[in-house]
Amino acid sequence: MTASLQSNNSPAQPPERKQKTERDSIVAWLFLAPALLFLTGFFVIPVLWLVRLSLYSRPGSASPGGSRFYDPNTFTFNQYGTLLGDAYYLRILGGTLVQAVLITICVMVLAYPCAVLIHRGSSRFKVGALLLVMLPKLTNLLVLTYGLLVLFSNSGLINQVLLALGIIKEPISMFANTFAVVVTETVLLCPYPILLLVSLFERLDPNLEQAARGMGASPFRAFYETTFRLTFSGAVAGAGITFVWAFGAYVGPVIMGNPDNYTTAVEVFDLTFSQNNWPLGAALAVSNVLFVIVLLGLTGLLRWFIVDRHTRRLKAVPAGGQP
Amino acid sequence: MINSGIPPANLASPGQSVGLAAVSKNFGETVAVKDLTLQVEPGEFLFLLGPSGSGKTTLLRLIGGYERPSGGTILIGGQDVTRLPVHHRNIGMVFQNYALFPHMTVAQNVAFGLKMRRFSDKEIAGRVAEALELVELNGLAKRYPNQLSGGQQQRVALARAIVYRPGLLLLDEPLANLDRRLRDNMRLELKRLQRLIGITAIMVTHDQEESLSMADRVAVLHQGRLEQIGSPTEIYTGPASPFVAAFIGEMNVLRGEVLETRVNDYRVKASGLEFTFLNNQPGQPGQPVIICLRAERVRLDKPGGPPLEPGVPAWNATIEFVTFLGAATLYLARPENSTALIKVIEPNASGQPLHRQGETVRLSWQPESPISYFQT
Repeated sequence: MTASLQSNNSPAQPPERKQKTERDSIVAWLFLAPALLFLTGFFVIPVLWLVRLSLYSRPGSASPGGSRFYDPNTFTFNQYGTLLGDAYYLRILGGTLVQAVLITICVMVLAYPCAVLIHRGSSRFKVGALLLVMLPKLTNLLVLTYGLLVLFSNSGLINQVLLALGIIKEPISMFANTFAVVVTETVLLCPYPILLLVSLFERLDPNLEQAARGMGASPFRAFYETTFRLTFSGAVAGAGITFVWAFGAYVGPVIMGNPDNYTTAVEVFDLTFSQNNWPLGAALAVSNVLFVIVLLGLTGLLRWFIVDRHTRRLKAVPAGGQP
Repeated sequence: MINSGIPPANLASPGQSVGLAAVSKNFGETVAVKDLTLQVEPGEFLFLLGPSGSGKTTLLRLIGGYERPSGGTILIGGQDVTRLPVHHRNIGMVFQNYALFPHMTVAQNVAFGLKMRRFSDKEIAGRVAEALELVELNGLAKRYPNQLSGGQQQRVALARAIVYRPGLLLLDEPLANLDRRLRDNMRLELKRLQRLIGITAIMVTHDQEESLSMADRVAVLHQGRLEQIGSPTEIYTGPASPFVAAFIGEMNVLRGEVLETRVNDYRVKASGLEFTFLNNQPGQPGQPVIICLRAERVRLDKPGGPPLEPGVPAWNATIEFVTFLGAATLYLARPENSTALIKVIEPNASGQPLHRQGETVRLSWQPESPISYFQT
């Protein structure tokens, strides 16, 4: 048995095969070219321009004939200094962070069980449920948000029902606060991790849980030991995506929140288009991106240390027969 | 390859009996298992044999508690477990794809059942080591399943299922994913392991050869019903129905009808051939009959070969097809004035087929070889 397993060290590839691989890679690049060009033109270059923009100073009287929005003859880190030195911006950043974490927790707490439910259902239920999950994404964002606004307002459906039932004496204020923002963003973001998790569950061997049951694990324990542990890493990735979206939230805070709920994204818009301070807006935008990248990097590192330990060990040990 | 001798005391199984009484299972309109009753003795190796869709896997899942029966009672070790959930049944289960936990090492996989039973870490370590030694995987405890060959994975699945000393081992086509040579080895290993630890085992297979070579008894299932249960030789030599006859081994199946009933026997005509059967059950003339005749019970000789005993039916036939099987050869022969093609399996005494295509031969069989079934 041992010998038959270890004989897979094939000799060097013949040259003909090598040529073919080269041609294959050229073809692959050709296929990639449109996407690469598009991304370079409409993503990489604008981002680089954004970075450069954040390094100008505000237009002043010192530079007549310059742009209305920035002073083209400058190169300075002053904008970043302003951001770091002003408690106002740090408070917005902190508020955005807390709100995004709150939204991410709500989304994941809802999405994981929801994905389990969809995965366990019959194939007909699955199609219907996934369509339902996608429905918010097929609806116009503003229509959906204003719909929620109507639902939550003092004279809205929820308050009216509660009043009619005599549960409350006067309307509860359910909008223009953090609650409304978190609920709205949760509705908007839930579909992403649900779709991701359902596709993860579908790839699992359904026999694993049954095997655990056979060996004496209760239904809950069997689920935890197999399905949950095997999808945890994927759930963390889903939470990461959700967090990025929640951190960049704009519509929810503006329509459903009060100024305390305004995120850095709202502030960027305000700086750039209301105050015409392009360099500071750009600096805030760039800081925003850097902040998210650092945070995701840290969680990724954490995942690498804790969750994926066994995967790393897998690569360290050579596969094969008995020693 | 499995260690012989006395099993480690910690692995000897309290082999339990299994009793099924009128067990049924419906999935909506579909009847998967119908009114099935059978008894498995402690320490017995029973095979559930049948084509796909015969209900054999459903039956195994019912015994394991993975499905609830629509009717009937299931007993394990004399205890009614019909309503007992899987994790309280104390069974070992080996799945066709092994279902090893990919995120756990071999040792952790084997330890799982012990962990669920709250054994101490020290005891778990000892028993896991014993179980791995029993299946000869002691060096691989720290490997992950995807670093193992199919045969090794199979043995991990086995060790994992017996380490907590269940009274019953259920196996769902565990050898189906192995290549031929490994499968033959594993048959032997599995059988020896089962004997060694004294566990009651029920194994599902569609491979009749596998069931004949390994089983103490074989239960043949067809459309959710138990067609026959018995030892491999009983099943092979005395199939209870045309289905069992045709499912096991190479069988000639001929359809005909009763010509006449006499005092001691009755005559049947099928595809232009005449058969005589002892009259242990009376048949009416014109009654349809199915005749089964094993391919290896048919004898081929050169025309005018050695004289036959009196009363042995013989025909001149033409060989129409020759298939070399290695140790034996399968011939298709057409008797004179007959529409039937008779399958014949003859050992290659001289190393190669004795007859060639187009050759004329004498076809004969012992009068007691064909089996007849009245069709109702």
